[in-house]
Amino acid sequence: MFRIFSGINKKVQTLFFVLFGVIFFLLAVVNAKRIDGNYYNYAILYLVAVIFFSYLILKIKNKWLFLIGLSVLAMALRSVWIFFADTQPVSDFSLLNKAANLILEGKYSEVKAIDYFNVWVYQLGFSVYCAVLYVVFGSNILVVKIFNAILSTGIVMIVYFITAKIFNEKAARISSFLYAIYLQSVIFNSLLTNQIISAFFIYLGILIIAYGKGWFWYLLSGISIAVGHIMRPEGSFALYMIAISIVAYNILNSPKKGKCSV
Amino acid sequence: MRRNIEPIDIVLMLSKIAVLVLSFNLTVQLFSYSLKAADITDYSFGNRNVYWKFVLGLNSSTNGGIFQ
Repeated sequence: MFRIFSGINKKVQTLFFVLFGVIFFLLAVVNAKRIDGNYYNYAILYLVAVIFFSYLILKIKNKWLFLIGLSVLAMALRSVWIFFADTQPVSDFSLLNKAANLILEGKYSEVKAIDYFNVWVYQLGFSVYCAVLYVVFGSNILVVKIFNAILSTGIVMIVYFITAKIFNEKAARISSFLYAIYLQSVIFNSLLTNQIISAFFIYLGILIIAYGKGWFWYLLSGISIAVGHIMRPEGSFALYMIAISIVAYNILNSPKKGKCSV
Repeated sequence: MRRNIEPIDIVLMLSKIAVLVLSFNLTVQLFSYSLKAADITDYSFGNRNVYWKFVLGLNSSTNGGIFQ
């Protein structure tokens, strides 16, 4: 029975990835149309530019030159945005910031008095992280924004290395380039949001599993995903998906010698 | 080249998942414990209003607001 699975595996895989890409592309177009009907026209221009530059980056011979160039581009885009967009935290974000400052000053009883943290205890993880940053660099939300930009650039690199391992160099270059210039991944950096650091550690966990071989790497990966989960409780989803992928991989693929087995 | 899964593969597979889940859970529990030990909160790390997002949040009469 497993042999039959292995036979259809490759075709299903290709079909899955193509459908996945098309659906997400269409969603992006639909969203762009909903946000502003006028800018919708620029989407086609953007798409042509993206395809053109995706083709150009494949022409770069040196892998490390590409990586350095990409990280400089990603960091520059994000830095320009965080210094250009002076966003002040409101609502949840301001509460998280307030709690971080209270933790910094050691006023724990005031944190306990905030109902928000008594109901959603998991939000404290990010506040503790902010408090640690404030202790080191001084109480300023710009510090968190700069760390967001650095971690977001880190995600670009992680996307590259995961894809390079699982697919190939071409796919890795295009996907990391797409993530580097994806609007949402740029403009989220000016928010005091826990999503970037959480995504960074969860992807780091997946990267460790993609490259590591023994059980020790699974231990490290678990810790990394747990850190991501502490920042924003999305790590458990990643855990289910990794467990399902490990089982599916073992059933669908017979691991060949010398090749990475997840 | 292809072969069926042997029992040892299943044990190896499950042990990998077990290590992953255990180290994940231990780290989260450790953080939860240290938060309580530092007296920042009285409660365990987690969501104490599990009905919020999908049950209450989608209820149009609460208008998506908190504490109404």
